[in-house]
Amino acid sequence: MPKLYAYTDGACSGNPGPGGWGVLLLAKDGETTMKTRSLSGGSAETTNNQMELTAAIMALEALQRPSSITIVTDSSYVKDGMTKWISSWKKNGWKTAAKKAVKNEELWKKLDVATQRHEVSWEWIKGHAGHVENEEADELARNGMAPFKSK
Amino acid sequence: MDKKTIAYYDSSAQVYLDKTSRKKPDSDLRSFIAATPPGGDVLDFGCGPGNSAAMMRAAGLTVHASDGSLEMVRIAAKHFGINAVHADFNELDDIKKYNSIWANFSLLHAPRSEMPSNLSRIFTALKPSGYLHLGLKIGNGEKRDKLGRNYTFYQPNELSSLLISAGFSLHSQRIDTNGTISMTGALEPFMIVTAYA
Repeated sequence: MPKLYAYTDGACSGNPGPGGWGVLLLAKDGETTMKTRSLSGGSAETTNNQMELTAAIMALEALQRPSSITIVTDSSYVKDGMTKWISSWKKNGWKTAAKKAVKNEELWKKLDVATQRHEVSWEWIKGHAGHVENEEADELARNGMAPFKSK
Repeated sequence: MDKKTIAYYDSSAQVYLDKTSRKKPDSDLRSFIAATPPGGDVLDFGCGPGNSAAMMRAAGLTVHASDGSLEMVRIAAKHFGINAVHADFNELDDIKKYNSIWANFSLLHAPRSEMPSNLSRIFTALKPSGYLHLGLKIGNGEKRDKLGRNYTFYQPNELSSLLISAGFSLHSQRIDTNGTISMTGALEPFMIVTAYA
């Protein structure tokens, strides 16, 4: 059975500003890549964290049927959010431990819903450290941003 | 619009309904609904069997719809109670009427030479700051698929330029290199672009 991986990345020019996201989806059988698919996109006014979250949402929403997938991100914000913080946010009515509103609540909720159909594992890797797939996701994110940069 | 393409949709409206209908809006339709003010006027431009239009109505929107295939218009009325207008894209002549327009993989059946004027018509039909959802297949030139439908393919940059020339500002763009399976069973790259009038 091939295993599914999604390498996700976000990019933003300014905070907020034009931004992009990228996803490299791989179906791998051991070390052999059976299938690749790439997704990218962008928005006119966004933040880096919003693009990182969007990349993960898009990866999960692109899957036709319920799947088991590993999402590999260089955003500890996304990884920690999904693996450590989100359960307490939900319990506390989307407030942080400091009783403040959770930032990007709508996107976190969307991501939470998107994960429910699938079995998702989260993995963090260091960005811009020579991981080929991560570099590719980064390039997709930059391409996604391109149409929204200063005209 | 191309006669053979319309003939395909006329002869396959029922199959199309059965194969493409879903019960709940997908994420693109949810974004479209969220971008439209409650109860707002929307146009499903190339509505096909009316499944999306019915979901928009269920979300409380005021739905208008049109399609180039008479049989699709019939099916939409019969199945979903959607009263679509039987019209070609170039017959759109509303002015500042709609809050949002949904053109999901429909305008790709119009010739490339008509895209600038179709986008202008959409721009004029939208209220100021109205929202457009546009889905198209990525590629070059025009091609007839094995079901007989004629397609015009676009490159993402080409489409952004056309939208900007028509007066739109781009809101979001998504490119999928290996999109969902089409009616022909082929995996085809596509893009979803949203823009504001």
